[in-house]
Amino acid sequence: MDPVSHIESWEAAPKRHGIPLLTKVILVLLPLVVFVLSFGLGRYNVSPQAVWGILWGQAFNLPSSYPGTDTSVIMVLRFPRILMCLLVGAGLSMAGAALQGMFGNPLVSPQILGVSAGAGFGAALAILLSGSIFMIQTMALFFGICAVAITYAISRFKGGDSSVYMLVLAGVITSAFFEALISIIKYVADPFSKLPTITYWLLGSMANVSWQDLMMVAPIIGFGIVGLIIMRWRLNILSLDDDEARSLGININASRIMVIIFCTLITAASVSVCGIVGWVGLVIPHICRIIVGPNHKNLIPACLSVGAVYLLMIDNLARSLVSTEIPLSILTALVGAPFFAYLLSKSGGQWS
Amino acid sequence: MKHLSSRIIIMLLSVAIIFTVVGCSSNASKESGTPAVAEKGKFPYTITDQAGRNIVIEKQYERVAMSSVRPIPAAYLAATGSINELVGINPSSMVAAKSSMLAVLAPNIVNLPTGFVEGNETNIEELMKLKPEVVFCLNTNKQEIDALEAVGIRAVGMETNGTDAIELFSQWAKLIGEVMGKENQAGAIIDHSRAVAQKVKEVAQTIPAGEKKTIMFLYTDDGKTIKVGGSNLYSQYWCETIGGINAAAEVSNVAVVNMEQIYKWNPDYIFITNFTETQPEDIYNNKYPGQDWSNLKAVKDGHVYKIPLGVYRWFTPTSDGALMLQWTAQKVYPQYFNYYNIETEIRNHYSKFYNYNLNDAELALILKPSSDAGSYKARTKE
Repeated sequence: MDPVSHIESWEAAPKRHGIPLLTKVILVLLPLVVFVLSFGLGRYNVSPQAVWGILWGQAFNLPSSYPGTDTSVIMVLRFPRILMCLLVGAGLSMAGAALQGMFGNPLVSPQILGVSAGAGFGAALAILLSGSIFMIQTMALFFGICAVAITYAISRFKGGDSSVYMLVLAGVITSAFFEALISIIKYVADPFSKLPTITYWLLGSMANVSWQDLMMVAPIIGFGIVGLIIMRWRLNILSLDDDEARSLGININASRIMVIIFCTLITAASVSVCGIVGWVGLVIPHICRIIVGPNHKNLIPACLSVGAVYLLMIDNLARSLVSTEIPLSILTALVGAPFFAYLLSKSGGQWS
Repeated sequence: MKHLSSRIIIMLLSVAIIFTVVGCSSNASKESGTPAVAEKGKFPYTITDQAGRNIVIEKQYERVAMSSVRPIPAAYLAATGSINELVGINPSSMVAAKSSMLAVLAPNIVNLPTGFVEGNETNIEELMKLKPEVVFCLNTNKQEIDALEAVGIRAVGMETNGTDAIELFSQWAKLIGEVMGKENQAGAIIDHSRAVAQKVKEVAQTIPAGEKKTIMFLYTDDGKTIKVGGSNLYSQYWCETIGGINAAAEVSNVAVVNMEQIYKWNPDYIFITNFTETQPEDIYNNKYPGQDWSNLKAVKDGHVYKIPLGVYRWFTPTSDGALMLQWTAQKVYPQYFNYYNIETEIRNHYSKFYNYNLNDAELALILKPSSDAGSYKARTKE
């Protein structure tokens, strides 16, 4: 199916058949179930009773009869990490869906505008300079946003409104530029100490996510998520071609900038705290389209649910499969690719 | 069309020029390399390097460089007694030297050029400017070895992989001694290191199984990513030799682990390397959010230690390896390893093998190193 007819069918398709109630119920319940179950998974063995007892005790401030180690595992190690996975998974998937819709291109991921490359560069630079965690996160956030600003500026070189094609090409240029800068840093980094840290970081990891990390990025990612949920009606219109959309009386450029800002905030904040997590923002939207169809009204909430569940399940594997932490991007692709291929073979590439 | 053809001519010309230059330079250095006249009767002689190559030593080398191998300058000092022949070292060795006792023992080291190595790559032409006669490099860098030999520089491959830190160092010292004709000097520190290791092993064998302690080497902790020393690394050797158990033996080499895994291991002792800025206080005070160390046995018992920093980071194979064994053993099993005073051992070691008398401040700095060696900021000398 060519991308254009694919897009045009997005508006019409879901109106013919709505989303079954069962699908809706599953999409709401699944994140809750996986959320609860995840507390029981990890290298250190905490019994289900202890998990419940600790969570219950913390919630109602009861005196704890459980060992301090168990409480630490649940409250300090697992809780913030699980919440971060839900947040990042949901955010990246929604950003991917929004950008795929806006660019009318199924190959688009949240990385398209250069934000990951920019944020990755910021973090790598901070690691090279022996920066603190706070400095790494701030620089990642800053350069991620910078990169998108540069992309946007390039797309407007010819003046006037930036077209979708100009944006994509400008994003490719910016990404290439920042990736080259990352390569320089990796090249000059001390191969004994700094290089492994940078490489590991660029592959993404939730290892040792703290409440502080969560407090820092949750408001930013949350803002982007809420923004995209509000914008989901407009995304359908943005995915039409410019003239058609204008005829519907929408300020295309303003809406487009809003979407870009929300997606940039989500992606840059994610990268700043857990590195570059690939594949989620590319594939989850496609999986959700198979489930709920291409209408963004349904697609965006579905991405929130499936994206959150997917990344949380992947991270459960990453932290409990073997003694060492496995970088996230390796697992998201290793587990996600065969699963996606299976879904494709079932759906035959029909999105709706 | 005219444009295109002129471009092609320019390209061909530049290729030709490059070949000529390369050809010339390799010829030139071959000429300067070969007419080595044997001053003493022992030249030339043949040795085997750690890449398994037979190398002919033609003369007493006076210009020595170290490219892709890092912990070698300190070994060189111990094996030959000075660093007078060195003309260039790896930038990573330089940072380590500046933040360790090496810069005190051999002050000239801080002036050596390092620009010919960037990351893992050696720029041969840049190296040739230093006119080295022999270059120590990694035994696995076959391309580098071939390139060096092609331009008439004697390349010596060195092995850095292994677990037995004492034996790795001994092999380096032996090879350096052979190349530089200082077999006796090198032999002294090798014999001493092996003898200390043997004695420690003998005492360790008397420790009953019930008293064996689990030990974890915290390789780096930047507040986010925790790396530990697993098996297939020196951590395994230090633990086993002193009669302990490597808590992280199930992971290999330097491995990224999470806090839960460390809870599961719950080591009796934690040793922090000098590859990280983290100090025992940071662990005791739970400095890093997202890492709660307070429940671990080692932390509760107050058994978290920063590894000393002598001529190089003691965690790795060094000429201070014997001291590392004695220090670690005494920390974990003070009742068994009570036949020496570690401060006296360090003083004697430095005066015997580096011909240097440590003052109290220097001794204190070795035993309680600052975080600088981990942050790769050069320690400013007082």
